[in-house]
Amino acid sequence: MAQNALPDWQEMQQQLLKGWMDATRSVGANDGLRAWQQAMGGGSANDTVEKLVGGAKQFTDFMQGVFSQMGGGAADAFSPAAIRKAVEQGFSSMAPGNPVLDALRSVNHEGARGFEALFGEWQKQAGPIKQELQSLLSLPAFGYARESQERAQALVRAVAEYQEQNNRYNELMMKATRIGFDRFESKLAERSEPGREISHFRALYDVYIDAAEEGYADVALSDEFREVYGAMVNAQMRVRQLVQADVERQTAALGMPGRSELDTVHQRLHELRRRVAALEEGVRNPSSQVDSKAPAEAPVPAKAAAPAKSRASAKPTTPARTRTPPKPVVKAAVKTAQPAKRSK
Amino acid sequence: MGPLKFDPKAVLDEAARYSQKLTNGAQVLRQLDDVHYGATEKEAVYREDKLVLYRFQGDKPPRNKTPVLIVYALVNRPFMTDLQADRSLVRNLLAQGEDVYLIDWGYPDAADRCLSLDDYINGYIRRCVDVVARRHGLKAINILGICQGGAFSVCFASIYPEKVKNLITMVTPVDFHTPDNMLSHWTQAMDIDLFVDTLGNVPGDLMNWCYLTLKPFRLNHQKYVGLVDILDDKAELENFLRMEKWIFDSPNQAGQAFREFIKDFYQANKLIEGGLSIGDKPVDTKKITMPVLNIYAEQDHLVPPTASIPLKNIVGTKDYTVLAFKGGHIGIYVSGRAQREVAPTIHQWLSARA
Repeated sequence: MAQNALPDWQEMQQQLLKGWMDATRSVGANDGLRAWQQAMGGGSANDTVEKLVGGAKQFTDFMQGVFSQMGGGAADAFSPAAIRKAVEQGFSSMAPGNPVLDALRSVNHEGARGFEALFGEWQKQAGPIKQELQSLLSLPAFGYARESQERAQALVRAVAEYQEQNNRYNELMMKATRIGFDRFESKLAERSEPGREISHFRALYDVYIDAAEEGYADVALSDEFREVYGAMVNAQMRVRQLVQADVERQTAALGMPGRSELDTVHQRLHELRRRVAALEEGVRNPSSQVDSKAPAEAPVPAKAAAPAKSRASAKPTTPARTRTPPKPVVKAAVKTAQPAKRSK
Repeated sequence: MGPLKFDPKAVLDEAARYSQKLTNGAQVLRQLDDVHYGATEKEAVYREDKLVLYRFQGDKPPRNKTPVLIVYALVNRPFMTDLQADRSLVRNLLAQGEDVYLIDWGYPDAADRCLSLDDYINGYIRRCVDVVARRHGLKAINILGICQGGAFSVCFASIYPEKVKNLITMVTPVDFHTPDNMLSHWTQAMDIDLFVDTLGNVPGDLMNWCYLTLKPFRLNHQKYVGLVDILDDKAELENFLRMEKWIFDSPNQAGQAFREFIKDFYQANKLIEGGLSIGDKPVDTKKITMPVLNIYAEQDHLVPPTASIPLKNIVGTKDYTVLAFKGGHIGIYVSGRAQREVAPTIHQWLSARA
């Protein structure tokens, strides 16, 4: 763009910069967006407004990066490398200057929560305990508290392991960012050909998005990512399991039921229902050799009302005792079941 | 020459439009009512646990004698098939003369964590099929399986071929080990037993996060930047919000079924490699000898076409039809093209095999 950087063009660019900044400042710049969001108040679209503001903020960060470059007036201010650098600087306020990580973190909102958010919730609960545990890590375990101290040490080690795996994951996201910016610069170079130039800001933003997605996909489909992602998730689950087990020991000491106990009840109830249902189906259809499940309830015309929504979040649980539910042992019962009238 | 060729006036206009859209949008947003999905009248004909089997009611009696049962995925709600009156696969099928039933799985809670694929496929689906067949005095009905529900339908049709007259699969993954399948890629090194044992049921919010991080910039930033374009259009905005409501209304996944689905389908790829059993019933896909219509979306980032296309190689039918839809995983239900193409194709295909 050095050839285009003629004095009159530069002057126009300055006017453009001022005009856009004025326009976005009124409602679009970040503080303005927040005020705009607050003015919306509550309502059905509130979550969407929040996401809209998040997207608009990213867009304005992007534009401000470009504008700052345009305002500089350097001869090579509009080369692909210069635009890339400007956008990188525009995003520097983001989570460690990493748009990929920022994009992943900003997915966390009402209706979507990732592994980092899940762990964050745990940390809120376990933060005070964690500091206490950290001090126990190097102490030798002996005496009447030996077992609990070993458990505490195992937990601290598991947390450290998770943090290490999470760092590896974040490094890969940084790599995705680098690849994304490389692609962005390459795409800008391609668009430097006469007739292919970019003529408005949204188009420039879209080129950036395409490049960022390509960089992310390159990493996310790599063998390295597969291994790191699995290790990160597995490490977090180990931490959660240790915490769950500890909580369960404490609740048991207070005489309160824990996750394991409930799991056992659920599992036994589930198996019992399967067996009863199979027996009922055998009674209704004695010629069948059905050994799987049948409805505990008979098919009945139902009320038109939709089922009540129940979105209780999954609570952390201790390990299930049985990973594969045992098969119902009801074949013999089904075979010998006598025909009976179906109760109305 | 550089890559930018901005016309200052045009760009200033762009800035002014952006600002104006936000200003006007603020007014529209304040006027919005709550949005709902599920547009077509329906009657609940069977309930079991949290499941409800619905029969949709069209404006005129169905012409095809054999009803269609829609088996949707456990993830997300099945009402993507009936999002709103002018974007409804269900309504279009009814208008074509089909008799349409749908299984609503409900929202599993902690007490449902032991539900297995055996419960879902040999239990719930089998009984729903039996209920529909009995209501119509038939031995076999048509099944339309969607996404994960399509994979379930493939299993069901393999185990109970005598109960399925025609099988239709939409955006259904069959080969989970294709190189472009990002979701599958991410699950390969996960210890699924540890994962499910720890979480119990898998939170719907976590599932959503995983889907959104398949394309984090497009789905979380660009989409909402684009939203500004329609912010001052109440009808368009309501359409957008209706879709958003559907996207983020994700039931938790019953732990045991999730464990089995990830291990057998995503990790071991047993529909292709063989060796799959649901409960104690082996899945032999060569027993799918009824006619099959496989519909996939060419721009599907959740179920890439390469994951769907191999269905042809594993079924035993000689009557196999494929429809490559020009669109994505969601567009196949809600786009204008979908309204014109999908339901008529299904209806014509079924009518020829009535």
